[in-house]
Amino acid sequence: MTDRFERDLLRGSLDLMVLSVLAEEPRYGYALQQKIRESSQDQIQLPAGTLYPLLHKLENEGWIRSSWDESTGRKRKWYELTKSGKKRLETQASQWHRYVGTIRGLLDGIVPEPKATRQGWNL
Amino acid sequence: MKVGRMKVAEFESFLEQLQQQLRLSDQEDQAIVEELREHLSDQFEQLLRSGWEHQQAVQQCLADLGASDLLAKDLQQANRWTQRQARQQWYWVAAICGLLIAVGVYRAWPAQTDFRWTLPGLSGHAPPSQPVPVTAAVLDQRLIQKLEQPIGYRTQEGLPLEEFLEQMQRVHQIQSHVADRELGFSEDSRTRLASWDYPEIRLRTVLSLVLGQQDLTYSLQSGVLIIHLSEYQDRYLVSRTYPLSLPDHQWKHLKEVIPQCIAPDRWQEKQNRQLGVLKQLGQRLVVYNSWPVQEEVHQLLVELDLIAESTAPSASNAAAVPTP
Repeated sequence: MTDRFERDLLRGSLDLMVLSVLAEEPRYGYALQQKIRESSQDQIQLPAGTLYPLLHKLENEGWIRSSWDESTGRKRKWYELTKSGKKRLETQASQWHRYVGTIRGLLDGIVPEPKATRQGWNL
Repeated sequence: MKVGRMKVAEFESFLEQLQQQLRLSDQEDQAIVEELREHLSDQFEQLLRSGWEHQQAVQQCLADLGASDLLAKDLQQANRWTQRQARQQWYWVAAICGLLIAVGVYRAWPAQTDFRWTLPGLSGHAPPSQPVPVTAAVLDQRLIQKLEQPIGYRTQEGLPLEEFLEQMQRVHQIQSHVADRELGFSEDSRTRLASWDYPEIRLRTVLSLVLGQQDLTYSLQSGVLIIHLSEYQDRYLVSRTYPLSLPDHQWKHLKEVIPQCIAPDRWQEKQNRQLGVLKQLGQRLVVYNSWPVQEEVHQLLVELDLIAESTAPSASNAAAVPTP
């Protein structure tokens, strides 16, 4: 069973995850889902049912924009980062690093860092 | 080459159900369904290539999307949240525009004239018995005239333009986006700005400078100055008429040349997206497109000597669009 803390952690960082993947290059939904899976070494499998509402939310907030394209022979809706999305990513990434640093400082010497595990993250 | 998509009955049934539950606009519903159809197709083909059985792959794809009613709810929330935000933003923009226009109309109104919905200033003070009806084009023209008027910057007496621009705290953007274009500065002239004598700056320029600081821009529609987000500039379409006296063969060429020369991707119908329209109505060219495209159309017509750059304001010929 997925732990609530683990689920909240994952949910809280979904925006950051998607924005950072789109910062590399524009992608369509399925490619984005696969990229997150590959980059996390199969640990994060973002369900399509979560991914698409999230993409729409980010687009509507103005952090990403989409456009349809058929040049590859398949009709795809491509997403890319906007200027404000880049700023948002920088802010979130900085907040994330600060937060991780703080928690690491709190745990240092109290709880030993666990060994790497292949256990996946589930929403 | 167009690649064929695999049609799976279960997917179509799921998407049909989702479309019924979405209840957004038809266009939004259709776009969402189309996007998910592509996703299902991609995922399904990938699973088959990885050796999954047909039925297992179908089940896996549908499980990944979850229940259609929950997905519809999440998508609705994502889209409605924006509509709410947009409504709030537009409420403020509309309120500010309304106030600006009210002040503008009040200040422009001749004191000796009774208040009525005519524009006597544009028709040589028509007597009250023959009021000139206000048309959208007349209002546009009037607003354009206002924007073209020079205004003094009166923040401090004798303040040089450079200091004025610095007060805007966005000098680099102003220089690159507006000042070069509006004032004709070059890289060298910027350094000599302090000694440059530039007593007046146009209201339109100031408006661009001020709005630009908040990533806002403006366009005109039916005599109303509309302030909107810069990123929506291309999506917000406005209609304009350009009165032109041309023989038939020139009309034909013109209607071909404009979509070919100006933003070719902004005219054709594509993926349920509403794009530009170009029509001839008698001796008027009607253009429905974004503000930047309208400006380019106007510029082209001026360059082709089809309309005068500064059209005299009159009720019959009042659709000139200002160049930026």
